[in-house]
Amino acid sequence: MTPHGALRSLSAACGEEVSRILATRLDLLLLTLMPLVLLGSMAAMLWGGSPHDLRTVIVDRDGGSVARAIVRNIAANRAIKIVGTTPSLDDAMAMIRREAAVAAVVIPRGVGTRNARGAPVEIFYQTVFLSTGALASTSLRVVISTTLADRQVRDAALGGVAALHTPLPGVQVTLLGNPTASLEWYLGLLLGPAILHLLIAVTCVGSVGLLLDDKAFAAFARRSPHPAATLIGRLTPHVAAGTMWTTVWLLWLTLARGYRAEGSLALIVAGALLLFVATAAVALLLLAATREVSTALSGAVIIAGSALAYSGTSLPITGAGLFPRIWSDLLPLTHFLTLQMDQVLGVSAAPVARAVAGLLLYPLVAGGIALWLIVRAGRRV
Amino acid sequence: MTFRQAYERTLLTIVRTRDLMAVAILSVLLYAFYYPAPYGHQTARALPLVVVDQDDSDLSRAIVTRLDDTRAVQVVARTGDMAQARRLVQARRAEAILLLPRGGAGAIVAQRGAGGMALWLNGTYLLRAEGIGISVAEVAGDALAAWRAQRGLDRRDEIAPPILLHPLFNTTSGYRDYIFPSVASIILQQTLLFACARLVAERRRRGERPPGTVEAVGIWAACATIGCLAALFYFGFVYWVQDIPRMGNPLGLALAVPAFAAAVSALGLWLGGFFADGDDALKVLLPTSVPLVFLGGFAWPLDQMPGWLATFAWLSPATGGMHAFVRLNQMGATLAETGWPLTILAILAAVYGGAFMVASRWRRAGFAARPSTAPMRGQDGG
Repeated sequence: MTPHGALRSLSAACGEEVSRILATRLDLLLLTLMPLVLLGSMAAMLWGGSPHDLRTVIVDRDGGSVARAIVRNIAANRAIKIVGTTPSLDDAMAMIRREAAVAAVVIPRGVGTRNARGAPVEIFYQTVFLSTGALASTSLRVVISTTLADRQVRDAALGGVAALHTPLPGVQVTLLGNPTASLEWYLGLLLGPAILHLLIAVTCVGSVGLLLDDKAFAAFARRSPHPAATLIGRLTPHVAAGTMWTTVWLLWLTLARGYRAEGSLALIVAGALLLFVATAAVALLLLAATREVSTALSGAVIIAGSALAYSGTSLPITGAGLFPRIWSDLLPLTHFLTLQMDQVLGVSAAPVARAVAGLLLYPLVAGGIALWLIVRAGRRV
Repeated sequence: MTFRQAYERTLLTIVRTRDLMAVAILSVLLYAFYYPAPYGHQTARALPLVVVDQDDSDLSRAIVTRLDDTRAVQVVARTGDMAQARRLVQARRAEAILLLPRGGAGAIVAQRGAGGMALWLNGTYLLRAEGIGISVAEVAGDALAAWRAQRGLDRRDEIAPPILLHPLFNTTSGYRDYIFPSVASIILQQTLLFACARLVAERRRRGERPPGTVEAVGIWAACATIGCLAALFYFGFVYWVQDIPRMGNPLGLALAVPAFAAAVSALGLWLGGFFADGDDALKVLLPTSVPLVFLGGFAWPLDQMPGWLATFAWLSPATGGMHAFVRLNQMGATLAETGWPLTILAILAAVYGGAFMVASRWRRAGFAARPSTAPMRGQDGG
């Protein structure tokens, strides 16, 4: 067994796998049309940049000049669209329950003529679909407080608030890494890698699963002169496909959609390569441990399918229980997303090195164990 | 084969076949607790913030103290040096910088806004940024109001009427109570879809004769039964254990759940017929899970998607399920208020059910009988 021979096995296995994929309609579809459709649908979904025209119903119990100014300013706000005016709060609530409206604004009688002890303006907003409800409520809060402040207190500035959709009277807000508070940029950076992570885990399991013979790798390991190199070669096209699609997705977000990372895009692509090496290693370990394609696929979906939830990119994982914190650290997507978001922000070298080191552990530990299990299977009589 | 025989045989096959049991039942149990776990704490906690306090006044100290007392934010450093604060953000030891500039308190006394306070947030994690922003806004506002009140700076006629916010149906605005009820529909759909598709694809791999109409209805009914039980397990037991708002309209749920389960199982049974192998069915269907969650409209509203994409999204029963179940469980909506998603689910059940019947019949007509020797994968004794 020579390094040269192992390299030749790796190269040959890689070529054979490419040929196999090209000859197998389903596998070709999984690595070409499938990512195109899945990423394309996400690109179309996020096309608007951030949600706008969030449907709001007005319950105007006053009808005076201040109330009219509030309604006018709400109507002028891009984030909000008034879909109805009704005197009845019950009707407004029914619209929210029908999802015909996200929020309702109740303008009390005498608005603008009372002090703080008077009847308040009330914003009712649904929080079962929190992202839209919260955006509507903060936008409405900003508009209404600005309108009321214009009428009463002239010293309330709202610089930068529109960008964050958060009412911070008098405080200048700057968003680093996402200056326009774009949900497309934020979700796009998360969804592309998350979708491809699961997809590549599935194709890796599917590919190596073909080497199973009677629920064992023994026959493969015996007939192959360099089983470890052969497996690495076999998985290489899948790693390359994942990295290529991630690059395409990043180019879509940056070149086509105009978003910008403060750090290095090349480093993000390198991180993606490490992510898919890690994905292949985990897939291989699942298959080596279970020796069943269906069970390994179930394992892949548990690990990769929920990885976004455990990455802490929406709700930070600090504050969660011990299991989610440990499991989050064990998942490769967490480390890749950390590296990617850090590059978008433009951070110093130390956090990058930490994320890279985290990603390198998967081929070394998970991949190492998997290869050892498979090679050992060939040595057993 | 009679309806009853097909129904019973299908249930027994699922229970006795490890691969089907794992997908249809064990995964449902696992995801009930695995998926909501990272959101169990509901709201952001201890997000690291560095304060650049160049004012070092009573007001700035009060703001820092109040910020540190909140649950959402933790002041990890207080410095007068902006460059040092930037280094902390670049080293990822802080998510935000709050600048309290020199002379800020004096500016407030002089009625010049909020004294030039400024906040830099890591916007790459947009929702975290929003959490910090809201916390800082509330704390700074409260501290400012208290400080001004102490000094008699506020006049009653200057105070705008307050604005009251009423979050509805998830009154704590908790993440678990937001995400899990929506994702539950996807979990229920995908697990049942995988099981049904695998069941049919494996029958095909084994060379079994495609079912006739009565047998197909029996198989469909059995799969839908498992879907109903899984949904009731979630909306009853799991939501109760997790203390998620639930059962706002039990009667409506009693109608919506069978429609959802029928639509999903019919879709799975129909799609399964396109695969020659159960593993192939899984390989194609598994990667759709993440996009289908988001196409359901829980993070990005359906009415903001392009029309063709929203139409496509409604073809997934999980979208109708999400909007029906959230309304019926969390919002306490009436049947009339749930009309659209319920109608969609009923139409999908009819269309996918019909497609499954027609496809089975068509394949049965062209079926060349050959002996079935291969066992169902993962079947006990097989």
